[in-house]
Amino acid sequence: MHDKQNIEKVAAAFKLGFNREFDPVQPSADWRRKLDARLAEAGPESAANPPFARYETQIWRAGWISFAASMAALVLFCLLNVYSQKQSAVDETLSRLYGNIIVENGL
Amino acid sequence: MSSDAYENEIIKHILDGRREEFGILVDKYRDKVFAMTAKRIPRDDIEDVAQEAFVRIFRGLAGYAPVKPFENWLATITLRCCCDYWRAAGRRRERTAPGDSGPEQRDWLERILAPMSEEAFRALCARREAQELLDATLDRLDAADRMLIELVYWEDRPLAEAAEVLEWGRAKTKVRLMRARRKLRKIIAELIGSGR
Repeated sequence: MHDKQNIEKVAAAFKLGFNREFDPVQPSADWRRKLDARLAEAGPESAANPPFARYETQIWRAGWISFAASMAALVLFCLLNVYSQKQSAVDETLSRLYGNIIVENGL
Repeated sequence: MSSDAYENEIIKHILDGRREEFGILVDKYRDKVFAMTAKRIPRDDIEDVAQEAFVRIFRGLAGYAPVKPFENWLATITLRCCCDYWRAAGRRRERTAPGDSGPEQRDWLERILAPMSEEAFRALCARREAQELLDATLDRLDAADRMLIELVYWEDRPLAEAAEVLEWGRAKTKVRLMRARRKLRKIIAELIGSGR
């Protein structure tokens, strides 16, 4: 309980510290010149389809990952299917063999 | 003409090719952007982050929808720039260990925990050691958690606004806030433990 109060007190102190008045920061003389130079290089982006443009790389990456995962699942499914078919053929042969032995021996 | 209408008019001009008019918006909002970044970013990097914010604002002007005030949109972009700064900073350097607080900061902790008047408490909160310890504590949170704590817990902004800044859904923001608060409590508890 005492610890909880201490934590609250330090958190309150941090909150006050964070929200205290800051000395106003004035940009240096160079700041505006540099900003203008950067703005001259950059142009306003087109408004057409902005969310896609913004996340284009991530969307492509997610698409490729999904595609690769689907392909891997498909291959795995095929392999399991082939294995299971082989297994049923073996089972069938064995049961036929056992069947014959039983019939031949009159068991 | 109202301020919003005037700004919308300037934005329209910029998008029509009169790019030099962006300077009017820079002059009008420079102090606000600097004040927001000064609160969150180390002094040496304030200018760079403020500059990056204005460049992003300029580049994103076409996507600005005047359904909300320009000032709010500008504030959201500035906060995102601050968050990106801490993400990049987090990748660059190692986290500060809890036992790394210096003797001055430990002394501040002991004093803050002692009974005192409201005025004395406020005076202690404004000290340099408080800022250093606060920085060390926030450094141990990841960038998004840091921003979330600052916005919701310390600046008392609505959850919806924080969700918008961080580009998260409301439910995710709520859960992350709960976890971030828990992390912060743990860090402070460790600080108090190491301060004794």
